[in-house]
Amino acid sequence: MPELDGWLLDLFEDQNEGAVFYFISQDGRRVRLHQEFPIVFYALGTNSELRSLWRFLASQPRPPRLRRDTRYDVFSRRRETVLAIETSNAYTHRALFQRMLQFFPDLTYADVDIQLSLRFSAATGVFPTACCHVVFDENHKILQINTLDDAWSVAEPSIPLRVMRITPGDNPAHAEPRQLLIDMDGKTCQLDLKDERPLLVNFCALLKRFDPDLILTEWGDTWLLPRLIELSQKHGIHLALNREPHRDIRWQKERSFFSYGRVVYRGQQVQLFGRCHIDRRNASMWNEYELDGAMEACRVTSLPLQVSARTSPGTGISSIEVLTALREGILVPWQKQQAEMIKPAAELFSADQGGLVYQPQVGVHKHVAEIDFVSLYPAIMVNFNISPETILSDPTAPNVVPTLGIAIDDSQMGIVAKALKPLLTKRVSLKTQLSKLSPRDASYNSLSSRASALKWLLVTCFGYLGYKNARFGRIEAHQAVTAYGRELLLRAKEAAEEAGFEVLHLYVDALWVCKAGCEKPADFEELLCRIIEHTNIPIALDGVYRWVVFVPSRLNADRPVPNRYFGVFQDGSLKMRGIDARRHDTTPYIGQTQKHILEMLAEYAEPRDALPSVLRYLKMRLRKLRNGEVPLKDLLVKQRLGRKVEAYRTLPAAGRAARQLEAVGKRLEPGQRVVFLHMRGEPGVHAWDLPNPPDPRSVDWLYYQELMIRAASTVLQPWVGSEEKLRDLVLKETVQLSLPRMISRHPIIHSLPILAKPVLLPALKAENLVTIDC
Amino acid sequence: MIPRAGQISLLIAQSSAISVLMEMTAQIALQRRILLLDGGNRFDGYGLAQTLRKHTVNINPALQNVLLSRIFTCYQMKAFLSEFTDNTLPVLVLDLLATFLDENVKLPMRQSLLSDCLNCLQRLSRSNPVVLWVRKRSLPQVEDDGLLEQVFSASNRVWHIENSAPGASQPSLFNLSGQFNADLSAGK
Amino acid sequence: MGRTLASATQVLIQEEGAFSRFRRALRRQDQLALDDLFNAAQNHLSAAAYAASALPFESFLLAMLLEEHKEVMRLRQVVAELQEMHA
Repeated sequence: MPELDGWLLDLFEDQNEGAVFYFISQDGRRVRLHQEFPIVFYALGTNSELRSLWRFLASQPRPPRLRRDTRYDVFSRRRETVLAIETSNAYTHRALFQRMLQFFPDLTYADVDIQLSLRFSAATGVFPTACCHVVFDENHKILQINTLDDAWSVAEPSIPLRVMRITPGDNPAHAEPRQLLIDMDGKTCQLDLKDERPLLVNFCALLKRFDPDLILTEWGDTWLLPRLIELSQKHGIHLALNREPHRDIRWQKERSFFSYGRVVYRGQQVQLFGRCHIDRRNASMWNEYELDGAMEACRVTSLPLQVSARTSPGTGISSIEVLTALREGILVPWQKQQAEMIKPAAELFSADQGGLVYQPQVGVHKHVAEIDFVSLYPAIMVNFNISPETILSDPTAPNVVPTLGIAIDDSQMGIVAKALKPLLTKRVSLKTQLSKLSPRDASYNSLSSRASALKWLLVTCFGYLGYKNARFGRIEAHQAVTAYGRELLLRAKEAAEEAGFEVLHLYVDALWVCKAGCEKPADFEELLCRIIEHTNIPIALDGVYRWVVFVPSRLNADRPVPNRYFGVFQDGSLKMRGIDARRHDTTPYIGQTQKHILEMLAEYAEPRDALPSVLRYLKMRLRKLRNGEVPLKDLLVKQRLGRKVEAYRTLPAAGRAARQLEAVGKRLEPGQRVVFLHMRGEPGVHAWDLPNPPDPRSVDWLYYQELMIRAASTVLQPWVGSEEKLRDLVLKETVQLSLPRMISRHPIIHSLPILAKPVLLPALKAENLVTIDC
Repeated sequence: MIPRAGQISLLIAQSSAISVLMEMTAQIALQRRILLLDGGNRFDGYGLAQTLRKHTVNINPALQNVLLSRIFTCYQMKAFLSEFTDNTLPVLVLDLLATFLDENVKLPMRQSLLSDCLNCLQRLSRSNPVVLWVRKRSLPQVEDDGLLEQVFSASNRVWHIENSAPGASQPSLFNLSGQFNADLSAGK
Repeated sequence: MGRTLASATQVLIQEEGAFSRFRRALRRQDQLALDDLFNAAQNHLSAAAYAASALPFESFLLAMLLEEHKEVMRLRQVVAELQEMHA
């Protein structure tokens, strides 16, 4: 019997052969194998309903295999009698199910509509990119397959991918690209896009000679591959993008959808068979963790590489949960049906809350430690065993959830907790490894990307628990997690206060504390231990700030705003949240200015000493802007379209820019980004992707000046005061530098709006007037 | 608008109607329990509490009388109504059709699910008043999909509240609910 | 996701809005004093949220009173210091 050791590259359904697999064998061959992969799914109902269903199915032209079985249902919390239905392959499964729905719409179904790779991984332990051992016959039919790999191992994946990278010379949305740059394992090649026939011929030759496993493109989904396919049809030259012969590539339409409160746009997709294609510009999370991260996500979720690169972490979490359910013999519901438990409205007030958030103490603070819980919500889900089936509506049971009228059943581990535990453990291991390496170490970047992929999956799993379409979601579980979160953060705060620390800010899973005399990380060790004692969840010191500023509301300098701050750690690194330099849509010139100001402030132990040079720098930057010396691309504004262009009633700037693009035939969908400049006169914008370039002299530099002053004022507010004061300082040439006193950290005074005024007592004579130093 | 048992009353009005509906809920909850199904995340808890406060200092017993369940998909709506058998409670459904606008679920399926829901509501209405609120915003789409027609056919009384200037509409709505509540809380 | 009730911040804004007619009828200095009170409530939104009262305005009123009392405590301290200085 032939056999091979190798790596699973791709797998997909086939109408005739059931399932087709592409392996990279250890000796370097690419091998195609197949296997009949029968699909089992379940129907639930009363005995008589199931009997009718049995009769119906038995009378079908190609009857499936039927048997009675019992499987666990997480929502009813017991093993249910089911009718197990086995079809020969995924195609017959889908066709049969559609017919069943027509005649038996009222039954409950499970294990329907599950990706082949998940079923295969659950059955054999072999996931995409796994190293495995395969035994097959002379017809290339798999007889036996074993995994030699472990998705949860910290070791780097070993799959030796041949990667072909293709980049068009220009962004197709902006200008028509003129050539293609192709890189194959270090060997590069350039093809001219103008000569269509030679381009195709050469490209086909390269494909054939190099035979890549992964084609990594830029704009491959939305422009490049569709273009090449169009050319191949035009010139009648066959383009073998797939390794699988007699197969068309798989197209997925573009779509806009609502997710976590904003509109997300996903461009059309081109997926290959026998090979992987990933479009770096259309892959979710690519900027976060690139190929190493996508591969990590692929391995732990058992989704094929090109699918995992394109889908959101929410889909990833769903896959992990489904995989766990399949392995444990738990029913995977077809449609989310479980509604919220009926509860008196009186309980909604305490249940319907998010994370605990404290208003911060506005102003500058020195020697502040930021302490973070490590992956708080996932840790709560695993530690407290929160899962749809572990929720008990009996408030008198043990393990009551704080402030909610529900309890947790601790008798066995819930499916969500089971699914998350290895994910959490691996993330902690990777982070620990990372902390021992220097950023210059060769394996640092890949390890960091892998840890990031896991982080995103973990970050999503909580939101997913409350998602309306999540198969294993349950709103009570979601509420239980936030309730524990609030409780634990409060306990941490109490532990800090008991130890004599002042708590400056609390935000969901982090606290900022300080105490006279505590300046080095070692000074906070004891507090960390105390908190762990009180909460049982791992906690880590993010760092000790030399100084940190909590930024107030732009509209009202007395109103604190949670999670809006900037500061410098003892090692000199900056951290900022909620301000322009941190946001993705900030104009580069302005973001860079703000960041540089922060860096200048960070150089001094007393930030106010930096002010004279900061103001000089800011004036210089404003001068460059006024003189037209700033490259236009540094003034670009990038905003997402929240809705279709027609749907806007009054057009914001982004909408007007989108209209301009529409007028030249470039249609933008909700969720896509519009890139434009602010211009003087009507319509006030110029879309960057218009064929005619903008007139640099018409740029509305006054508007940009305002944006810059606003951004600078955000970070200079504690020392300069209001935006008007800053404008006076940098725009008027001769002005005395008189800055108001810095607000001290006296807790009582902090919350009062009227400060630093002399206290006049009428009984005192003028010469006895005392000015209180605040 | 005097809902009685044996009737399904349908109210078609814009989002601001929630205040009238909370007023109505408050009136009932002061005397007996009521099932409130929120089909579109419209429940105004604070509004309800404030309305109750106008009637009594101790609002908690009334808040305990309002039995709330929030529905996020049309499948959930059908599953909930099929399994809900307590026919001693008046039923108020907020924004009934919100979850039926989801185009990810094929139209025939949504129509079938809605039909099942309406059958359950008719069953419940035999012993207690049932009030359904359909929001005006959803109007063009649900009309096109035939969903509004389904709800119409299942309802016995229909009230359509037109858009009007905020000042003008206040008094008339209040009178409406005044009569409305009196009969509802009498348990008819 | 699954959040139905307004956040504490939104409720405070609504309450401020509900008192806009009251505010309008006040003299200018009194308006500023009223604004200070609402600012004071803003500083304790987290406590109001955690209290999860069905009538959040009661929590806001307590927050305003809290800040007033802190000011009284501070002033007492200042007065005591002044008196000592002139003793």
